[in-house]
Amino acid sequence: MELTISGAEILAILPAGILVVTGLAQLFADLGRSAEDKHSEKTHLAMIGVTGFLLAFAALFVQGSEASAGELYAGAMTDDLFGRMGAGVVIMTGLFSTLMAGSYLASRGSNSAEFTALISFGAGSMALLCQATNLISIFVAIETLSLAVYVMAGYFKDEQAASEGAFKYFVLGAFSSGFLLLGMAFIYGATGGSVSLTDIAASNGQQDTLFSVGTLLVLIGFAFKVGAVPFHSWVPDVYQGAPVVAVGWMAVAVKASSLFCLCRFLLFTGGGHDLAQLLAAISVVTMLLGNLAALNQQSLKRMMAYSGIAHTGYLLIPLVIALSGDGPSAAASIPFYMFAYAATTLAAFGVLAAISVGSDRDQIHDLDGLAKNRPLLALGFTVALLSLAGIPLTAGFIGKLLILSDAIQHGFLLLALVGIIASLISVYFYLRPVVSMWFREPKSSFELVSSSWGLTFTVAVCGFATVCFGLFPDWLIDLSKRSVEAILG
Amino acid sequence: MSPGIEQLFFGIAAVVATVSSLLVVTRRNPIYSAMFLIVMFAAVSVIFMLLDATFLGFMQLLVYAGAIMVLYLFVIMLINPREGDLPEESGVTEKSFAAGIALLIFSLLSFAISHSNEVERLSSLGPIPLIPEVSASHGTIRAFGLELFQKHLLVFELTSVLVLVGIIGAVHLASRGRKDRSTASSGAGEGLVNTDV
Repeated sequence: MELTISGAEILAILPAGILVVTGLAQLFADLGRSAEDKHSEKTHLAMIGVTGFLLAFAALFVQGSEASAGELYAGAMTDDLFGRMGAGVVIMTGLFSTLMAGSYLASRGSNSAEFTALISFGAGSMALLCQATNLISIFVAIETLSLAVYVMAGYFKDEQAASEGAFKYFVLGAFSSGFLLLGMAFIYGATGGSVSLTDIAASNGQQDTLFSVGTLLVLIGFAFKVGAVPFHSWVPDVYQGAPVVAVGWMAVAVKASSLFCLCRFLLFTGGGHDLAQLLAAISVVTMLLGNLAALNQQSLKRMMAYSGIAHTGYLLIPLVIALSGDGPSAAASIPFYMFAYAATTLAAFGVLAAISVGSDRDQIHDLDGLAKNRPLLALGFTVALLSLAGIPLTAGFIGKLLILSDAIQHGFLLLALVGIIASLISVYFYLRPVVSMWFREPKSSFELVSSSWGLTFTVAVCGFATVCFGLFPDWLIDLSKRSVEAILG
Repeated sequence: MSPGIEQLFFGIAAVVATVSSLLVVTRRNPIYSAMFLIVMFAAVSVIFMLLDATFLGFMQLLVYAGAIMVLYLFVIMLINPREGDLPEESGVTEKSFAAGIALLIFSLLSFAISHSNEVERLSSLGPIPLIPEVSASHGTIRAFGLELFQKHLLVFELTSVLVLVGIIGAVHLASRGRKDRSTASSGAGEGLVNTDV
């Protein structure tokens, strides 16, 4: 046997490869810098990062065909529009996180190349995860991105909250990886020793109890990664302790890549017995608990954490519909929703990073009077919060509309009803910071991260994108639909 | 090896693995836990070898029972926990809660295995052979290497990124800034001077 790598294989691996090289370049560029440098902004890291992420994004467009390129690397991954859309979300999120990281970390006196390099490495493995088509590559990609995120969660190693959050995340994450792996082993056993999703789909082991329990365990592993109830307990603690920029990064990128992968997994394997009902139950509880728990939070980071949990609940609805036999087309709202969620969340965390000078200020009253001092930031945050709440003219509204109208069309009235009630509840807590920004006087002079061009740029672009996706959603919806159709080749 | 002896070995290894992993989680002293973990790894490697996965069995023994456990023991001995440092014996409610969860998972897994058509199909092939007949090269280093570098090349390369991320993370979390280090060393120096005086 000879080792041959085809052109399609090289093209498929190109985005992830570029990102890994970017991470290495950032590490090398920072070699030999003195420790005092940690207060400087290190623009060169952002420059390398931006170049790498833009190149990787361009690499997504190199190959024209949308349909699945078939099995690459002996079935370890494929190259289709769905995977490329997932990689696109991840790469854009990485780009803006890298832009925000410099000034934010410098203001905290702990700017080093590790942070941006971990973003790049994490983004590489997430891009692969979106395209992974066999159990082994899925598992290794998830482990790589998790490891990067654990370290970023505990990046401020001298702070107790950060260490506590990171440790909880690490231990629970290792536990959930155990479930994931056990589930994969059961699926392997039930389908006569196949690891590739195509083989699993083709095998006749899907009625087996081994297979059902296997998919259940895999689902538990993914539910932990995306923070669905009852595997959500780590989310608020990690969000509170981690650097704001890292929170924005993991809130979007980990959730996006895990959901893209889970979606592909479920569409291929069809899930086991009763998995749709179970997923529906998880979705209902997640939506309600996330929004109800967010009501009382004074800390913006904890509020965003519970809001993130609630949005996971909405995102599970399309999977329930798709699993119930209505085919992949119902899952088409996932790529669109993830793009909308990415733009919205990054704008919100950009503002949170900008108000965190010296220490992470994240109480709602810290925002008092922001509109008078920095109207652009206040506007960006307002747009982001309105979009998260699902107010019309924003991307979040279109996303929720797609999901809920799909649910109603396919007869999942209860799910749709809970989704609408949960959204109504959420309007209350999303509007509290808005009131505080626009209608309250600042208590003291306002202090922001001094040179925050990266932050302002991110908030502006992401806020603009949120409105754009809201006003002109058609092309993105169309792209999402085609991408889901392309999954099964 | 005749199937009777194979089953006997499997039985012994399975019992040893189960009992020792129970002991790992119930011992309060981490040294005992680590020791029982070594026993567990050894028993699991016996099971691997009975499944004709010779290479995997030896790797389990060398890497886990050997290298990694020695590292564990070093760490435990470096920290050198005294009686007071050990965690409190957990209460009855906590223990019963943990036992309940474990029982739940156990019953779920055993339900899956006992009701599986695939398992039934395999066991209907009769007790002999326990496992499907495999080729002579199965589980050897050569077969393993061919699988690793041809079929799973991508994953193998991705693993290198995984390890790199692990190293960077460990270096970042374990390193102390230059400032901290200088104050720490000057503090130690003062300590020395004081004892001299």
